[in-house]
Amino acid sequence: MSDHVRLEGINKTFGGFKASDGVSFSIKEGDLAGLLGPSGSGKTTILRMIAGLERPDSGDIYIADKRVNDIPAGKRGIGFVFQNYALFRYMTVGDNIAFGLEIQKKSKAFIKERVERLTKITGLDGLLSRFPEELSGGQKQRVAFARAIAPEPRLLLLDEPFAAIDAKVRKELRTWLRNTISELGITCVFVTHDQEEAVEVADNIIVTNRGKVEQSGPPSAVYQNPATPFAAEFIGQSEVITEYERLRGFPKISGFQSAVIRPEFIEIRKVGREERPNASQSGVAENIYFRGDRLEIDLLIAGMRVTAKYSMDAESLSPGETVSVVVNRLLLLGEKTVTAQENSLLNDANPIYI
Amino acid sequence: MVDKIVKCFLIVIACAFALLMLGLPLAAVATYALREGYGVFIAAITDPYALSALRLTLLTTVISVSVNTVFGLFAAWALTRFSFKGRSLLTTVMDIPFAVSPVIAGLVFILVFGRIGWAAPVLSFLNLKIVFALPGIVLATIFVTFPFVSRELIPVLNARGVAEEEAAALMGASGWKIFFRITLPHIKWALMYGVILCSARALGEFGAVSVVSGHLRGKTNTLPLHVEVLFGEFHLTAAFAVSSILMLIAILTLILKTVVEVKGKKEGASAIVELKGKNEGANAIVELNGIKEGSSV
Repeated sequence: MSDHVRLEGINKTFGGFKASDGVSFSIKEGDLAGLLGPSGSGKTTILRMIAGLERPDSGDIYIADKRVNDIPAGKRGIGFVFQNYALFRYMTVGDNIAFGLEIQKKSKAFIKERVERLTKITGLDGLLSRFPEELSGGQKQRVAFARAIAPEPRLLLLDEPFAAIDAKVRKELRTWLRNTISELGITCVFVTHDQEEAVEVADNIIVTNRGKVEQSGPPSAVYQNPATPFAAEFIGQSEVITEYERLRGFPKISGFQSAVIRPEFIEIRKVGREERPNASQSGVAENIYFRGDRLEIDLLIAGMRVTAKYSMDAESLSPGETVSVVVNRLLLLGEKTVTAQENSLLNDANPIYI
Repeated sequence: MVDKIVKCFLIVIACAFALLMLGLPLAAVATYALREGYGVFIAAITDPYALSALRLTLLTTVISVSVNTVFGLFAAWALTRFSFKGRSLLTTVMDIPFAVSPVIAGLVFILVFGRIGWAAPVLSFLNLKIVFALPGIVLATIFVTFPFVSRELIPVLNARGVAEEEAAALMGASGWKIFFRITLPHIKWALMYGVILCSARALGEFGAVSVVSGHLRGKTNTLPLHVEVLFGEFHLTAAFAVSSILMLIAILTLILKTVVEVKGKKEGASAIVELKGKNEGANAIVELNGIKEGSSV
């Protein structure tokens, strides 16, 4: 499918602060894209520029192949869900949802029917005559969503849609939003600082840092093959280690000063139960934390402290126990590049037992 | 026990002080006004000069409050919705009437529009009379009451942020629609409160008006000026009778003010309860400060 949203060389400064620095990316029609980055990385500014709430200093924004830089926000046909919902507090839920349709001068009958349908979709039945302050966080989020999609926008933008909702409801809403949006078939861009959320909800994620786009692509690709050191460190439960050559099977490669290690790269076994003794080295399980479905271990290996996981089903470990460790993989960090490095001892003469 | 004594003592002191400084003078006005009987009282307040002074006062108040309401709205909007160079300067300038003595304000108008003023040639060419006439009185009153409306609106507008307005604009709503459907419902109590304070000040303004009015009886005398004239001529009963009209208006204003305050606070309080999260918590504090500031003006 064709590009729905395209940004080309966007720059934006606030005072002396560079919020966008040569930002370019595109989003395909019907895609659910997540703008992911730490706070202050310029992701909300990008969203607001797409919506028309901010003007870029330079660069072009295209929506459906039309340059929209000079089109006012209200004429871009965009639905927007604000971070704190921005519900009209002096209007009932029904009037909130109907507002956009009223502006479009739709007939009363049409508005009534559409509001009813939206309340069904969003599960807000029976709440139409309530005021925003009488709703829970999750309900407000649904109202904000219904209000944004009521005028049938082709593009929906959401600014930190789940930030103000407690953890349990958040998971539920995520799934619901994902399903609803794919049913509606609209293109959707959301901003988040929560990588778990981005990875779980988005078809494509765009990683931003200091006003620049670091990498964009499907979550699995960004997760497994980060393109920049920032992406490697930001995504996943990543830890940076500097003396990776002290890990067995990872000779020093010039140009790569440090490496990212994630818990899933590390395999822990009890001493004497090694499957690949030539790639193993000993470590100490300093602390052991219960994480529900697994154990998390503070592992001391070659003088470095990293986080590893351990299956609940395996033979139990006690804190302070010496264990046998194999590091399967590392992400080596160069100045501007990242390369995934497999353990060099694993593919040698010794086959892997299953 | 000691606590209780201290508490009683402080309450008694506060009450006694209020009674002595506020209640007694008001009572004095009422008794003096009526001490020669209702006949004299009625005669004093139905005197043609008194009636024309009342008319002039009301007319001045209506004009200056309307002007200040419109400009107060503009100013509050501009100061809270746009960031521009000189914004803090404008905020400071708007408070000048609070700092400058009204008499000086009046003198400024004489210097600008009077016979020796800068604008005199233009005014005489156009055959316009400002000083010692209604326009001068209105201008002086506007000057003195200028900040009242905007001062009430700015904290409320600051506290609420722009997200709701942005949401409406994104759906294609026009500026008017946004103002009347989104902004006005939120600021209406603050606006009303500002208008009441502005009116109270305009009704009672003496200093600036005294300088520019020229004290022409039946023509440029407002009620406070009329009281002064009567008092100066030793018509004490008449002076107090006319004062009692102003006092009555003041009491009505107070009642109105209290009603608006209570209503506004009720809605404000529920709005604060609704606020969650760090950011908005901070906003709520701003809003609370706004209410405090409002009641201390």
